[in-house]
Amino acid sequence: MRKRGIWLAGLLATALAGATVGVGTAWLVTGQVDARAGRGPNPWKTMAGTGSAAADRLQRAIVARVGIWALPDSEVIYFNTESDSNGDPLRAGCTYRLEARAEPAARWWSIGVYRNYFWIDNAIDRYSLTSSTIRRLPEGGYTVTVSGTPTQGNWLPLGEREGRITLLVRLYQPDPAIMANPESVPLPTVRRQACR
Amino acid sequence: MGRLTRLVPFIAVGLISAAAGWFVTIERIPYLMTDAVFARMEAAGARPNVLGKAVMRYAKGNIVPMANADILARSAILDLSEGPLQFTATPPRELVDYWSVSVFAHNTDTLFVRNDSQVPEGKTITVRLRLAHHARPGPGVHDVVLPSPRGFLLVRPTMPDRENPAAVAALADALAEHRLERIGAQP
Repeated sequence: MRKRGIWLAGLLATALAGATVGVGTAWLVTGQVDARAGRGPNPWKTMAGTGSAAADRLQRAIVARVGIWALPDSEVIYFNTESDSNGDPLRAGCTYRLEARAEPAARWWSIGVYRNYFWIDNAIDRYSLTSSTIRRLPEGGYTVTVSGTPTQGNWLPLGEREGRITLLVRLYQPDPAIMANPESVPLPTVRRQACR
Repeated sequence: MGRLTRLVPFIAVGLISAAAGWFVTIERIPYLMTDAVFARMEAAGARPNVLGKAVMRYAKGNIVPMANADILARSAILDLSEGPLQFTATPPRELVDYWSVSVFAHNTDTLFVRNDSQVPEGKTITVRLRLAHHARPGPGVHDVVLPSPRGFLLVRPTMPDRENPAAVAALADALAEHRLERIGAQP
């Protein structure tokens, strides 16, 4: 009788431990915007179905954690990256140069930078640049400096505090052809220039 | 062999429990995150069924992950338990590069989205927000049926330049005309 009680207690403890592992793993996985493979030009990627009620449960959970109330692809396409063009993770102590030779086919677009998925506090309260505000190069395209140190021109403040750094491009009312071939979208390269 | 056989129930229970924990958490996260953001919004002064003012938002006080810094948003936590609501707006097309109104269910499903290019110039868009047992709206009104009383309405007008106070103020004035009103009492 006592042996059976110990056996049942062991089974219950195993069930609790298993459930805890399941809950914890789900919470960890959904807290990362790059938890699932996506498509896009290096290093950017987008997940088809973002913002759609038809997306699978995992994707909807990820979007709820790191981009709640996203709109469907027909309205907005989101490209993000947490690494530079060499594949190294973005770091707050570094300066990055974004360089694009053309602009995406969308009605309006923006590039924003986030730390731990929230805006980065800075002296000029700038968290993004948009197709309305960005300064273009005479030959077309644009460059952006993402850095904790103020710079002339298109500067996106990166702050000094460490954390998970994410760059996000939003394409509002995008060309419907984009989702068929997201690799072809002219998004900027992300080159690390210097680090503290 | 005997010891291994005795371990089988433990391995099975552990795996089944882990899978159950995973799936239940994945299913519940959209509800949990909606409630968490609603709680932060209410702590910051938002009230259910009241369209929040169009105010500039900053990093200090940023309560929505990956929010768009270039929209002068107006939003409302929806609670249809006291009856349906109606949203009316004339998109200020001359002041924005993009404007849309979207409605989300408690589980974050996108139930409705219309942008300014889908509304005839100078015309008003009217959206009825209701539960299935509430009366249907008449013609010319977009009908959005929420699966449960809780939901979220979000208006996204892009600012021409958030660093241009005069342009932002003009847009805020135009957005002040947007309305969210209760339609009768049909609990």
